[in-house]
Amino acid sequence: MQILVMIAKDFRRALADRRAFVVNLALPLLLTFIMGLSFGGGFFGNSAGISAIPVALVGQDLPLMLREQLAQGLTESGFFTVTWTDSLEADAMVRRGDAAAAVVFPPDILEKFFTLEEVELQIWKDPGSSLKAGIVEQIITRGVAQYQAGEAVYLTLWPEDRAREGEASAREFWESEAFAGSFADVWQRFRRDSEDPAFREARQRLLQGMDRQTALTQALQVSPITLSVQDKSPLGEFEKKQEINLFNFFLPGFSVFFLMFSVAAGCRDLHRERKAGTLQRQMLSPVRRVDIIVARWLSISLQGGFMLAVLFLVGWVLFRINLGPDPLSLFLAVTACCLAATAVFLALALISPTEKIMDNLTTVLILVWSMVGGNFIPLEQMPGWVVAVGRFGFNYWANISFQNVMLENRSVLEAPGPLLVMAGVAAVLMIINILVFRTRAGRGGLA
Amino acid sequence: MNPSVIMALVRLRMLRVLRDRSNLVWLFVMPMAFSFLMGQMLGDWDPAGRDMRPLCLVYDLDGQAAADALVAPLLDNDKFRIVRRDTAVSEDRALELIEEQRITAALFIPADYTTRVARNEPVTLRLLYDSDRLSSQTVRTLLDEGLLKLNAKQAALQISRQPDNHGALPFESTRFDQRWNNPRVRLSSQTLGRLPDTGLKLTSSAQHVGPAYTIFFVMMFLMMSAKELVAEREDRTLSRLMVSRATSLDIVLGFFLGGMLIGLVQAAVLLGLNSLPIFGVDYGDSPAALILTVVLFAGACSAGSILLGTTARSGAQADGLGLAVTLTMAAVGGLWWPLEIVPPFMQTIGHSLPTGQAITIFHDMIGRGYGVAQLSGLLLGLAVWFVGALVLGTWRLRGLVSR
Repeated sequence: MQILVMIAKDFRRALADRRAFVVNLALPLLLTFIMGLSFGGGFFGNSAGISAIPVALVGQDLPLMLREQLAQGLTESGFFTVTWTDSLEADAMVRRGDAAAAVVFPPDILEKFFTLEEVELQIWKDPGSSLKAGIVEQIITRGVAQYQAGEAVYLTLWPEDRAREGEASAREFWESEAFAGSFADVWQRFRRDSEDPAFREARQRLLQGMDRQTALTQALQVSPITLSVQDKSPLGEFEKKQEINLFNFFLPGFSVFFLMFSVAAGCRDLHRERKAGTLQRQMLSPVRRVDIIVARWLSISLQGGFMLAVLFLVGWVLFRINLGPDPLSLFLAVTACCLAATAVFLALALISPTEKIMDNLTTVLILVWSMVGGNFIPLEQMPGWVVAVGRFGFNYWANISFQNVMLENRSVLEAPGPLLVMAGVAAVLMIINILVFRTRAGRGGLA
Repeated sequence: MNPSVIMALVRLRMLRVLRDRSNLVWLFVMPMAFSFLMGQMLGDWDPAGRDMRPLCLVYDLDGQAAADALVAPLLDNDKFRIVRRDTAVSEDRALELIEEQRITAALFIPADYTTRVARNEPVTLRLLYDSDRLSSQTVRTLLDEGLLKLNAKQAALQISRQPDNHGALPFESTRFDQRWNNPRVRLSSQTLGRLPDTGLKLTSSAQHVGPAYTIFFVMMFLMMSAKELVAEREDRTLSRLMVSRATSLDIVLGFFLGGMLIGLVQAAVLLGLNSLPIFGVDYGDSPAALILTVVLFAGACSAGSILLGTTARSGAQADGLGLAVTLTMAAVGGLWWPLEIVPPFMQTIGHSLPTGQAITIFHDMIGRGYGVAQLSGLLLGLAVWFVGALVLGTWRLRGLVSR
């Protein structure tokens, strides 16, 4: 009964500083909102993230029709916005950052292509846009690699074509009357059974080349060696399975981060009570010392639980976050997280000589723990040693627990490990906290 | 205006900051720790010189020539290292290892791989990987390239063996390799910047992290110190100053210059530390642009701190608002992730904030080698924030001390 009265008293004290309470609720939501605007998800849809990549194309010698088709194809893919321009302007655009990359087709590319001369395509990349420029490079590289593979096979099997086309007569061949005019003109000319030996030879070469290309295409369509790939990352599985709501990671991460500030502020209140003398008065009253510290632990945990509950409910309404497969899982995760957090920061309050020292200590710890414990960046993306260090913070286990429930929609009973660790941390630290508090009765229970 | 009073206020502010040793943690230790940690997480820094490359396990049950050829292109890579095992674990176990970050990918080569390749029979390799990791993606890209070559080779072999092979020569592996290694159509790429093709990755390495966390912590320290002004209001020390020979302008300038000096010292130390060989950040070719940027940003933050300190009603409120402003500006301004990956309207908002302007200036100085002239637009933006915050902060503070 005495504990309940003290819990109610602490709750009232906490609510007296409503602005701090509002900040602790508003900031995670604000940051999650920014995440939504930046990366999409929830009611923001999936349109956010990397926008169409501005690409400059340089190739004045390409036929207009080919340029239009290339531009249309790239634009319609939704990944690129294309500008045909000259090399000087493309260079300036990339250097200014107006284009993430420029793809430069060399002069006379078509002639070089057909006469089997050396062709060098170039990609110019914007130094300030390494991600987008990298995407352009990757896509072009893949396309060119496919072509290179086909040509390597062709010229291995029919090297005489290269030798023949490499001759000076190759240009004359393609520029001969046989290929004058439009495609329709050339086709009609070749359809007629001309007696002209030059036409006959040209047709023969063309048909032979077509036959070889057809055989090559058919052979390349069969890939005896295949790579079966399985992606571990849930984000990588996104395309195959279902939409992953990034808020299921971001909101719990930011919520635990601000929960630590809120809980630390509650524990710091012990120092203010000692300064005001109210803590000493409580110890002189018939209330047991163990009740004082346990009541403080429970009341701060309850406040934390209330804060997380509000955040997750608002997140469910605004960002459509997943609240887990069953209410019990989320309840247990929230409860264990709050009890462990309060036990940790109570221990810090008990060992800190002054409020200011505790203030600095907790802020440093919160920032470092958040960084290495996966509150800002998913644990999967961190190096192994950072993750190993992160395991020493309770928030690491809280993040995994929320990730299991909210991101992977698993019941806590399926993976109770993180929950048990948090419960263990809470139990062990509270035993220590009680012992420390009792032995320091003369100093108001604090260091 | 009394310069001696202003200098005394500046000196007092500096002494108060430096005497509290915990401030040194916030000024210098935490920013460098964050830069280091973020650099580690993004995988670019290896200060100890140890082999930090993630592990790619190859479970090679074949162990013969074709498997050797498959693995060969993966052996010498700066993003991962290969370890071959002649036994295999279950796929579940391999996935666990990837989950636990102990390996970046696992490739399973079946026992009869070489035989099947020789017979041109279908064979499937199994790759378990993590698309969120660059090292893992690189493994996949290299394997795709290797398989493209193998399949092209098989295609050539198949055509040459067909009765109607359209006059194809018998397949020769050396001729194919020669064609493969010397393609007629080539692709070359270069970065058009100040440091072309040196692997500069502005948005994903120390080149971004160092300046970004310098900007972040300069802003954070000054915004969080706004509560000192609130405390001075509550303790009535502001009023006491007014009954001394200090004018309201002296007090405003004293507070502003004190904060700005702290920001400048902090930025100078952090930028200096980041330029050490261990971190290797260089700031381009224009010291003038660098100095101007730091001065304008520190000035804007100091003025913003005064504005916050005169607006907040309590120390706790100043703390909360300071944290909110700093975190929001950092997130939207592109200090935590590059602005190029967010939608255009978020880029516009980001570039209009002082954090976005400052980090873009750093990017342009480092990557493009821009000087004051090319950066004039962004510098002007910073100056607008500086002047705006200073005017508002001065108005609020003069209003308070004049009462």
